[in-house]
Amino acid sequence: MYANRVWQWVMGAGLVATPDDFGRLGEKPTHPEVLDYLANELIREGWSTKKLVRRLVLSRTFRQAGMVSDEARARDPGNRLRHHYPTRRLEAEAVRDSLLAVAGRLDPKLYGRPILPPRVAEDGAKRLFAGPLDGLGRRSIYLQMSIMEPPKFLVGFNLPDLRLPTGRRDTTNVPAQALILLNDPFVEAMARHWGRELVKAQHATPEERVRAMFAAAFARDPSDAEVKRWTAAVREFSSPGQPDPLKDEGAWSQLGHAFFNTKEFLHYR
Amino acid sequence: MNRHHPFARRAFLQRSALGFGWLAFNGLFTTQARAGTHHAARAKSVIFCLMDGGPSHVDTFDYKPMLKKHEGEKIGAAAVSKRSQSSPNRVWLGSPWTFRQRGQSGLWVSDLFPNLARIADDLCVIRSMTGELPLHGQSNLLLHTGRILGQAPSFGLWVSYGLGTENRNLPGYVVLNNDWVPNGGLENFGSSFLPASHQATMMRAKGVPMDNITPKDAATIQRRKLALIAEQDSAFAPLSADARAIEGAIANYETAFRMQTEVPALADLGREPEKVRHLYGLDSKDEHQRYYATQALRARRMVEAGVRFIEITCPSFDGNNSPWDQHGLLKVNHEKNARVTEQSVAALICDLKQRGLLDQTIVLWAGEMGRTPHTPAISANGGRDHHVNGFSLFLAGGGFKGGTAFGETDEFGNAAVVNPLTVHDIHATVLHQLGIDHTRLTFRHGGRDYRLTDVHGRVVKEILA
Repeated sequence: MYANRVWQWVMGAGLVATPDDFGRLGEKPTHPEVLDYLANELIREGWSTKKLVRRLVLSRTFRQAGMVSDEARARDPGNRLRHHYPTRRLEAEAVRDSLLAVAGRLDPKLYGRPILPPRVAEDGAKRLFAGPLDGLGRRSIYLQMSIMEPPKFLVGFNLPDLRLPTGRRDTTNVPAQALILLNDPFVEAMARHWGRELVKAQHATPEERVRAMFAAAFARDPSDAEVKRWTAAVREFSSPGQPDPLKDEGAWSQLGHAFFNTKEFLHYR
Repeated sequence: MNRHHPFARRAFLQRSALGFGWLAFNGLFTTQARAGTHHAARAKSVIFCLMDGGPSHVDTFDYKPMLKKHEGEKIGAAAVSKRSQSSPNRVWLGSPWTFRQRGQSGLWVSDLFPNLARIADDLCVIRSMTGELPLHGQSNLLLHTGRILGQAPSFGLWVSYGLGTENRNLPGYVVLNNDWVPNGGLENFGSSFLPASHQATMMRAKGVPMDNITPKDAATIQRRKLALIAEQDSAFAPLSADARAIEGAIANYETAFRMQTEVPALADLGREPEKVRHLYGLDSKDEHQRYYATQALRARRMVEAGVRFIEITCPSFDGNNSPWDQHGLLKVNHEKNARVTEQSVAALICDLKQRGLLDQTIVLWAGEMGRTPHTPAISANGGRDHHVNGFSLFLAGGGFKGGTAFGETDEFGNAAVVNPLTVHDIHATVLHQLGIDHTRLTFRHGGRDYRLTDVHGRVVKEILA
């Protein structure tokens, strides 16, 4: 059961696709021998999650590309035979943490007291108090959870019901998520923060800066066409009369905000 | 061939799971109304007016002259119930409001509700509701999720999940909230194990109606940004393993862009004629009544726009107590609650009727409980306590029989004695009118098929026209 969950966290889908249900109503494992092997190794290695994750990320299965051939798609559309690495939307906490990390606002400190999530309205009688918009850069795992009102931003990206054991989260794809990324004040604050950091950085040209943004947001180099596309956009976002385009914080914030709204930012592959 | 092979059984159950869920499956992919209902639907949307806190049945729709006659007398051990805050030494309390028979039907409605009294012939009153525990949180969760412990999807979610949406630019389940979340918390409106795409959208009466609906950017900037994003995304979709999901996410941006104008336009009541605004009470001096009137009028506009399930909660004027929860000051505060809500509810029903929409819209008016017909001691500032041993609610439109009173409590209004009903029966009957068989609207979770009505519920055919 646990080995299957770890596999699911690493690979996107479990060897048993129904992690909460190994019974007759659940799905059969696609690779029962692999699951047995991993479970035995997990026990032999003293129940170390770290060692199991290491074993999985070193596998050829994990290191596969995300591309699917037409033939593979036709024969096994559900990827039960693991012919590619699936594209996944980031989980709620990862969306928030990625925004903090890319914007340069993430506080990597471990442990400490939980931090209250931001709230529009406080309710003292229900002990629902408001915290800072960016949670002081703390990772989402340190956000204080309340069953009465879980952090709204995370709920938007399918934070599960806090009272319901949830082996596999929903991944919905709804317009409300687009509205959050377009208009939510936290996302806007992160874009501003990124813009501020960018104009402080020593980039010789807008092209160089766009390359740095690609590295931060997508962990890859842009193509020439992409460099052209994004530098053209930042010129359009620039306020007239700004002599040095590299110093126009507002324009770079707008560009950063656009990065946050791309599907590549929100997905993992 | 081994007919008893366990995997054959597994395959069978999986297939039947799909079979049971076809309606819901349909709902996920169709935008056409009533395309995949179990039977012909009578109605297509629901407006649920939650009378949060528990309005007193014996002061509104359940006329009990015996209470006045025996006022001040001890209720005795026989009248004590676990479904009521009761003890033998409490005394009967007569209603401070006069009851009259109204309309052609002669339905009893007290003077507390002068506007609803005028449309008595449209109301189908149930006087024999029973609950499980006389507690707000648990009773609210029962009313919303069919379970006193919650941890299950809300009524509105089930309807949205079962029927899909009629308007892709608007959510299927909208909660028109004011400034107060009812006891039981947001779980009352939660999706729980149902797909979160049906989750409730909250619209506020005060200020900006919906979160993140106001564009942060000027229109030209946003359009330029969206073009940039679309250009970048169109290259990403074919490179990813699940192009369909990515394309869906791209399409969401177009919908979101339209929602930024459509939702505020829907919420904007500025262009409603003066007559209509007055009818709902938008010109009231009482701010709480204005909030409620705003929400009621928005509810009508949402029905017109194709939203499936709209819930209106009551504004709280009393700090940290549920609006209708009058343990004391019954007279003053029930009157205040009535003033805040009943004109708008009556206006909503009239307005829907005038527009020919009442036939296809179910208006459900219900609190999570009633109130005790007895009180600890007679006093001018007295009140009534929690009571689910027999209370009233009403339905209007959607093929329910108007001018009807169904079920009876005993002569003191203390216990449902004729045709007692549960919340499950109401859920089953409302779903029936929407074309859904409540026993077949299921979702597989934790190894079994769940329904809104769990293992309960009957369609109350007697109250259907």
